[in-house]
Amino acid sequence: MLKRSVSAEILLVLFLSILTGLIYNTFSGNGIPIFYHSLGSTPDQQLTLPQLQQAIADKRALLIDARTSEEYTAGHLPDAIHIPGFAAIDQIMNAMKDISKDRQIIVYCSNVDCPFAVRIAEFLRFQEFTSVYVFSGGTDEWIGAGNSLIK
Amino acid sequence: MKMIGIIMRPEQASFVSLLFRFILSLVFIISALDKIASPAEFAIAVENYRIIPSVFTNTIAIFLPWIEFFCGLFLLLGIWQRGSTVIIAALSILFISAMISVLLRGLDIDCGCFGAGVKVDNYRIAEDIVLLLLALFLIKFPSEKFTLDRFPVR
Repeated sequence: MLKRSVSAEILLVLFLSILTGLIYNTFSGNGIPIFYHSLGSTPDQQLTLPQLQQAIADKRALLIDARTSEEYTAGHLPDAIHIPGFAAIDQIMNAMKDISKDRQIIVYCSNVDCPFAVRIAEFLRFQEFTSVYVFSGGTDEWIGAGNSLIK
Repeated sequence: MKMIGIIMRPEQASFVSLLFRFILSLVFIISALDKIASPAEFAIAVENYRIIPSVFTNTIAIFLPWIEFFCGLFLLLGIWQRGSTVIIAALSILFISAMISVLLRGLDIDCGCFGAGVKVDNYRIAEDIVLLLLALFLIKFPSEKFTLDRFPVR
């Protein structure tokens, strides 16, 4: 008898939480998609290699390398700063604290299968950086086109 | 109350239950409110654990804080106390395992426990073990003082 009541309580608490979570997420204004799509950037937020090269030549964009520390140390795109995809939130905020919100930012990882560039980009957009792009081809496409990484 | 009767009198035990109940409920409510306020940050904290497939990290970030919140709230009010405490104990076990797995894999990440800037470390795991012990105590000896448990599912 008691057991049945405990499981009923558990189900009720879970049901109430899920219902409230759904309602809150829909109406609170800071809701997020219930299922996260790892290619969350719209096409106009993704850069092709020529666009990336143009941006690097213009020297206005801030490049962010979202790969691991080992990969970054072994070589990265010109002038890229390092924010690993699994960085703690305060680490990201700290790295970005002097960057103006409207500066063009380009995040990259190793290739299109690496989710970290998109994740960092989404986080930065959420933090109200207005011009955040992802170079989804990443270092693989960069090297594949005959460019080299900088140590 | 037989086992506990060896070390303390029933009224002391019921005071201990009440104290544990308030501590546990407040910890869960406070930690939930922070995550509810910033779901996107909490989703990244969940993603950082690299345990759950990316597609479900937002789902966890949307619902988990509310589960914590309602468990804490019901525990505080004394409604559906056993059910809420069982969920809290289960969540604590889950958090402890996740954090141990993080340390074993050598990741250096935010724990997502109380907003930003709190790293996963042994201290955090110890903290959750204490919470688990409080919850287990309350499952065995629910607090019967100051409850609204006439609101029954029986």
